[in-house]
Amino acid sequence: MMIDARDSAADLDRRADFIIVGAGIAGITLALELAARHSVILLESGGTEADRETQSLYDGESIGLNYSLLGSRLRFLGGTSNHWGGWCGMLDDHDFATRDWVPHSGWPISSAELAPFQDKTADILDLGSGNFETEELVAREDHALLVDGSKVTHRMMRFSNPVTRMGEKYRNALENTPGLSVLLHANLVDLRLHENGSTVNSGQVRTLNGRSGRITAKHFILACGGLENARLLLACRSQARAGLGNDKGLVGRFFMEHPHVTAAELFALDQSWCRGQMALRRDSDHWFGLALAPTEESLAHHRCLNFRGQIFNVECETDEPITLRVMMEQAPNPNSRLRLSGSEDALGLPKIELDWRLNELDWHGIQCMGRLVGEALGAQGLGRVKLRNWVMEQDGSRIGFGSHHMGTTRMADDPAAGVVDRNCRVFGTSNLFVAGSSVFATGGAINPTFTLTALALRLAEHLTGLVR
Amino acid sequence: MNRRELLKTGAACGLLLALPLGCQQTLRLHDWNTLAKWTTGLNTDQVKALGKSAAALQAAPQWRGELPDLPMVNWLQEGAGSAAGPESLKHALGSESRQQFASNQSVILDGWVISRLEAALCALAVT
Ligand SMILES: Cc1cc2nc3c(=O)[nH]c(=O)nc-3n(C[C@H](O)[C@H](O)[C@H](O)COP(=O)(O)OP(=O)(O)OC[C@H]3O[C@@H](n4cnc5c(N)ncnc54)[C@H](O)[C@@H]3O)c2cc1C
Repeated sequence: MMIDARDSAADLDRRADFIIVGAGIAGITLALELAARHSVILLESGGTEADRETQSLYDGESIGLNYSLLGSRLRFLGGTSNHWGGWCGMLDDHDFATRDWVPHSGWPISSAELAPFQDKTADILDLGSGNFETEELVAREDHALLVDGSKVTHRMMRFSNPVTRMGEKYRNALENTPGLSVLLHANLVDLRLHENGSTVNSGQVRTLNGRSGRITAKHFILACGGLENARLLLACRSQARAGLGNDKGLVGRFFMEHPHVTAAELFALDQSWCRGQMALRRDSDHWFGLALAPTEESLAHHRCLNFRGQIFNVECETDEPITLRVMMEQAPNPNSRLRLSGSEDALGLPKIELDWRLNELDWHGIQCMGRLVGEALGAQGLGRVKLRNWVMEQDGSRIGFGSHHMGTTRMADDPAAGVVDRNCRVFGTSNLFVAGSSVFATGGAINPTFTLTALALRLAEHLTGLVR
Repeated sequence: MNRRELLKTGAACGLLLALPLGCQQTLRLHDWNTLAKWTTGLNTDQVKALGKSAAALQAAPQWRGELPDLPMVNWLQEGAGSAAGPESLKHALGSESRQQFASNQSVILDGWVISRLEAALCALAVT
């Protein structure tokens, strides 16, 4: 059932087993899983189409590296899936590990805990297959390979086809699943705690036309995107002065992106390896592509950060240097963060002030990427690599972003090191959970949506166990 | 390229100058610039620019004074030293350079990722 919360006939004082806040990729995935057995209310700030007034609730200020808070997310049914690009891949196994040269690295879970959800995630995101193993597909003759595998290897990306728009794809299911109520134009603005200080009792809902209500549930899940999850926790100050789950001051810290850089040129001595590096290939009726990625051993040797590099075929046809486009891992950094600013949105919620920063390790990572690709090419006599001057000069104005918001409610086993536990429960609360890439402890060098969707499925399984 | 890397590179360069007579004769047939171009695949201007940067970074006495590392001595004596003509020298330089890349012995100079041997050859090309 879908209800417009602005409608005066709509009852906004409701109750369910689960309240999910945000009908984006994570929220819709969770809602449909949980509604198979439980009553669920899915709150969505927007309607079925984009509208300027609702979108402006996402406005804020960026005081660090150049960033667009409005352009990097969408606020209506389906969330940012309404214009995501559909590139998908898996974090590497070693992305989950603690690395002694990367402070704050290490997840409390391993990649094996997400593996059972891989195929279903691929279905949800229309990837055709959840198999990201390269061996079989690249063994074919037309899939030429550069690498010898010791320094640089390949990782597979799959492409959502047709690109999944969650609001459209699941509209019918959202309207017709028994036990599921979707409240459109309903903004969560506060969470109220039981007097025990750890159980969330109710959520305050407000609409832009002035209506409000109080919803109660056994469990609450924030699925508002990687920036907004932290903003909401920080803004729930009516009973906890620093915000919910923020006793250790970690909410909003460790903001990570994937710095997108055109950082290097390849001077090929032999062009034959170049073609097919990033060309799209067909796997039945879906597409996949390959990206250059460092091996675990070479990362450890040079104390680098992870990366994915792409070379486009068209450049291999010329005698010009070949541009290497790279998506870098960003090191977890407590000083790269969002805070609440002094100004408020139309609902009275403090806006975000985002201070996205890179540190020395991040700059080392970009140089290191050049070194590793250069060594791989050099060792095989295929060419040389030149890093662009701005990399050597550490010019932050050349750093692009991927609209990947990670780390602001990071996962840890120790409450002193993170905001949520391994089951995505907010530390210090008994029934408040977070879904989305804000829980990533590190971001690897791959687009985040595949992982966050798998995590949402894993969370649904965990929550179902709790309410059995 | 930092100072430590450069000093190691200097060792490679010093070794090239201290080759046994037969080897030096073979090398003299080819100027450093040609050897650097053969090995890196870069053009004369690029080699010169890199060589200037390498040379500018180092203070000659310390550079030359660095102790050579043994594997490099062996290679120069057994590899380049025994190279009979340009083709085998080219081959020997190329294979040593590839070997250095494979064993993480690269340097970043003016943004270029090159092997230590290549950095030495480029420096010699301008000195
Ligand atoms: C241009 C662009 C291209 C991208 N391309 C890719 C790509 O190729 N591959 C990839 O992996 N990722 C990509 N991304 C990132 C991807 O879109 C996000 O990772 C993904 O959408 C996050 O899903 P989510 O459910 O966590 O958040 P969202 O999809 O952002 O959904 C959050 C939802 O919460 C709602 N909401 C927010 N606040 C409230 C509130 N207070 N009350 C009620 N509801 C609220 C919003 O309206 C929204 O519907 C791209 C992003 C952009 C902007």
